[in-house]
Parts: sequence; structure tokens; C-alpha cells
Amino acid sequence: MLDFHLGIGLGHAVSLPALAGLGLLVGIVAGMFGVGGGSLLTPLLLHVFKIPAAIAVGSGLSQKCGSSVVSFAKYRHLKRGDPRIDLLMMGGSLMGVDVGSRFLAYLSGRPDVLIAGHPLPLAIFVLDCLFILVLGCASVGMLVEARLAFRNPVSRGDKTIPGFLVTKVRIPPFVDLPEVQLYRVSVPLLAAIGLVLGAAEGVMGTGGGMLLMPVLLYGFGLSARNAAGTGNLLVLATVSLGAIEQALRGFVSLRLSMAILVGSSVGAQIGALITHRLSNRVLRLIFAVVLALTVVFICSDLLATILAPLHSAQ
Amino acid sequence: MNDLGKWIYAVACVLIPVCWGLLMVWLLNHFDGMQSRSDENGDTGISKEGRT
Repeated sequence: MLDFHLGIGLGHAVSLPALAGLGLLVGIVAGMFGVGGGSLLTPLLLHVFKIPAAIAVGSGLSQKCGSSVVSFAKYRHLKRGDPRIDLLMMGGSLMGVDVGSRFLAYLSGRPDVLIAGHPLPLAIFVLDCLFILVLGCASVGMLVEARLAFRNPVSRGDKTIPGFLVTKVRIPPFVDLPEVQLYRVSVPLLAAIGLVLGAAEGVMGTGGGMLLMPVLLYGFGLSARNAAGTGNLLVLATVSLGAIEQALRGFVSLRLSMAILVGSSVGAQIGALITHRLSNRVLRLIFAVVLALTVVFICSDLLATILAPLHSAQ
Repeated sequence: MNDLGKWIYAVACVLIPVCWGLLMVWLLNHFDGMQSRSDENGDTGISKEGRT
């Protein structure tokens, strides 16, 4: 009774409580770790709910319009990060999301790819490969960091230690960002990073936070607090453009995005409450495990799909 | 759906989630305000004015 159709011509009916439950899970992850909720959303929509790739990505972008407003307002209230970094990356990012969403539309229009004699939609195959790569790398990186944090638990506080992207990349013009204690940062570099992030958002419907955080933390050397407060305006602008573009192509289900958004709004508060009870090191470890489990889930579902005809033939 | 309808739907796909997000922000700020007022009053439920 609670099943509903995503919209005209948008595939099969899905269960509303199950979607809200997915939103709850995504919100808990986002509330606990600050990033990563969106990175779980697209793979779960693809593999659990069997939603077509373009609609999963488009609706994910629409959902992120709501969640990124909350993040932006929260961190601006706390005065963390420097929105000027967002503005410098925004030109590249908006171009990137356009390129990414066009690429996804192109993939969605291509015929299925044959893997071991089994047809698989090309868009889903490409997205799976990208998610395995991104989430796998993030999981390994997080595990390494959690291990280092267990060995050396001293926090560096709010201090910025300029990273290799500030000290090594010397492409003019430069900009000073005193709010986050960064000086002579290359503007073309910021625009190029924005382009890559935007393209990731356009293709995968996520990745802004997941890819931007390591760049800010290790590439630019920002403190964890300032890194968390940077990029929210960028993500808001990028996902808004991406959602509009995908909606114009007919790839956004507003019902789907709102069901997930309502669930994730509740989940984010639960996640934030859990965070208060756990140490930073334990949180990193849990996050690494969650990401690794998602990679295992994607791989197993992909393998099951590929191997299914071979089993039936035997 | 005609072109204007598509554009209205596309803008709604952004504005409706954004409005929901702003509502969440307002609600969270409202609850935070209630929480801090409650803390100021020492969680007794009696306002400062009431004690004087």
C-alpha cells in the first residue's frame, strides 16, 4: 500500500518506508562523520532498490540540495572555514557538474555492455567501478589515519600546516586566505580542483565532500574544523545546477528525493547524538568499516549479476 | 510535459528540498534556543523572573 511510483516513465514502484529507512541510514552516516552519506546513497539506490542509474544520481542531487543547505547554515553559524575558497572553486565546479551530468546522460543512452555474456547497463557498470575506486581509497585512507591517530593521539587543534598543494603548486595568480591561515594559494589550482569535484558530482551524484575533505586536509593542510566548514556553499551550488540539469532531462524523481531527505533529516540528528558518545579515533574506524562494507556489497552484487547466467546454464 | 512545465519541475526539484532544509535549520535553531533557555534557568522549569 505504501509503494509508490517514482514518476511518469521513471521505472518500477518502490516502498516509501524503505526509502525513508534508507534516508535515515544515510542521515545517520552523514550526521556521524560529516561526509559520506551521499556516497552510500547512490550505490544503495542502484543495488538495493534497482533504480536506473541516471534517476538515482539525479534524485540524489535533488536530495543533497536540502541537506547541503543545513550543512552550510550550520558551519556559517559556527564561523568555520572560508567561503572564499568555495567561490574560487565554484566556476570550475559548475562547469564540471555540467560535463559530468552530460557524460552520465550519454552513458544512460548507450546499449548494455556484455560482461561474461551477461548484459549490464553501461551507466551502472561505470558508476560501480567509480564507487569501488573512490570508496575503496577513502576506506583505506581512513584506516591508515585511524591507526596513526591511535599511535599519536595528540590533536593539532585549529592550526593550518600548509600542505603540498600550497607549497609546491606555484601557478599564478595567487590569493591569500587569512581566515584559514593560508597564503599565496594558486587560483588556477583551486579552479581545477573545483572542475574535478563538479564532474564527480555530475556523474556520481556525490563525491563533493568525500573527495574535497582529503584535498583540504592533506593537500592544503587545513585543520579538521576548517576543512569541515569549507566547501558547503560549493556543494550547494553544484548540486543545485546538477539537479536542474538532470530534472530537465527527466532524470529526477522529486518524490524519491523528498522521501530520502525526510528520513535523512531525522537520521542526521541521531548521527550527531551518537558522535557525542564516541571518540574521534573510533569514529574514523567505524567510517572506514562502513565504506569497506559498501565496497564489498557493490562488488558482491556486481559479481552475482555477472555470474547469474553461468549458474543457470549449469 | 512542455518546456515551461519542465523548467518549473526542475526548479521545484531544487527549491522544495532547499525549503525543507531551511525549515530544518529553523527548527534546530528553535530547539537550541529552548535548550539554552532551559539551561539558563537551571533546568528547574522556574523562570528567573519567577524566582525574584
